[in-house]
Amino acid sequence: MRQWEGRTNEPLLWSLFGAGGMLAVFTMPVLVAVFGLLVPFGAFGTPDEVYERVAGLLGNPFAALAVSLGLGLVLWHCCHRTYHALHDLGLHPPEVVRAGIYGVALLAPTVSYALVLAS
Amino acid sequence: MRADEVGSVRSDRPDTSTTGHRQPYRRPVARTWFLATHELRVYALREFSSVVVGLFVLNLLIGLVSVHRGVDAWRWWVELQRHPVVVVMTVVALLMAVVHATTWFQATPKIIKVRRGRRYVADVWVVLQHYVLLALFALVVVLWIGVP
Repeated sequence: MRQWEGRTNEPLLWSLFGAGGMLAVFTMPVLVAVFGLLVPFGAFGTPDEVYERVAGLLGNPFAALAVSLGLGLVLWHCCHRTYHALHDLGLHPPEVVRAGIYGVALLAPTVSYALVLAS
Repeated sequence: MRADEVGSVRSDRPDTSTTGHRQPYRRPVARTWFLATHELRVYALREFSSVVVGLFVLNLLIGLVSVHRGVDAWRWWVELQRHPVVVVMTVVALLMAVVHATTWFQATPKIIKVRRGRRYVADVWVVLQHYVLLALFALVVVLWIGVP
C-alpha cells in the first residue's frame, strides 16, 4: 500500500469537525436554552403538552435520524476539540484515549438512534 | 541487539507505533501557560466550552430516546432537567454555547469575503448574517414547540 504512505486521515476528521462547528454555533445556544431551561421550567406549557408537539415530529424515524446525525456532528466537533485541548494542557495521551474520545462521538448517536428504532 | 532495538524497549521514549519514527521535539511549557495573557485565557475558555456543550449534546440524545420511549420517559427526562446539579450544568452550557457562537461569529469576516463590484461587503454585515441565521433557527424551534 505504497500510495497510502505518509497519508493522514486528518482532512476527513477535520471536515466533520468543521461541519459540526458550523451546526453548533447556529443550533446549540437555542437548543440549550429551550430544552435545558425553558421546557423544563414550563415556558412552553406542561411536559405533556410539549410531548405532543415534540413527539409529533421526532416520531418520524427519518426526522429522528436527521436529529441524531446533526447532534452526532456537533458531538464530534466537541470531542475533537476536547482531545486537542489535552495537548494544550501538556498531556500527550496514548492512542487508546483518542479512540475513546472519538468513539463516544461515533457511538453515542448510533446507540441513541438504535434505541429510537427499538422503542 | 541493535541500537534501535535497545531504544525501543525504553519506556521514556515517545510511542512511535502510529507516528512512524518521527520523534517530535516537545518544548517544555508550564501547565498553566494559558493563564498568562488575556488572549490566551479567552482561547482556553473557548476550548473549554466544547467539553460542557458536548455533555449537553449527550443529554439531548438521552432526551431524543426518551421521546420515543413514551410520555412517561419524557416526563422523567424533563424532571431530570430540573435537578439542581443539571440546572447548574445547563446554565454553564448555555453560557459556553453563547461564548462559542459569538466568538465564532466575530471571526467569520476573516474567512468570508464577499465582493460587490470593486468593494468587499463590510464585516458587520457578514457577522449580522450569522446572528440572523441563529435567530431564524430560534424562531423555527419556538414555532415548532409552540409560542410560549
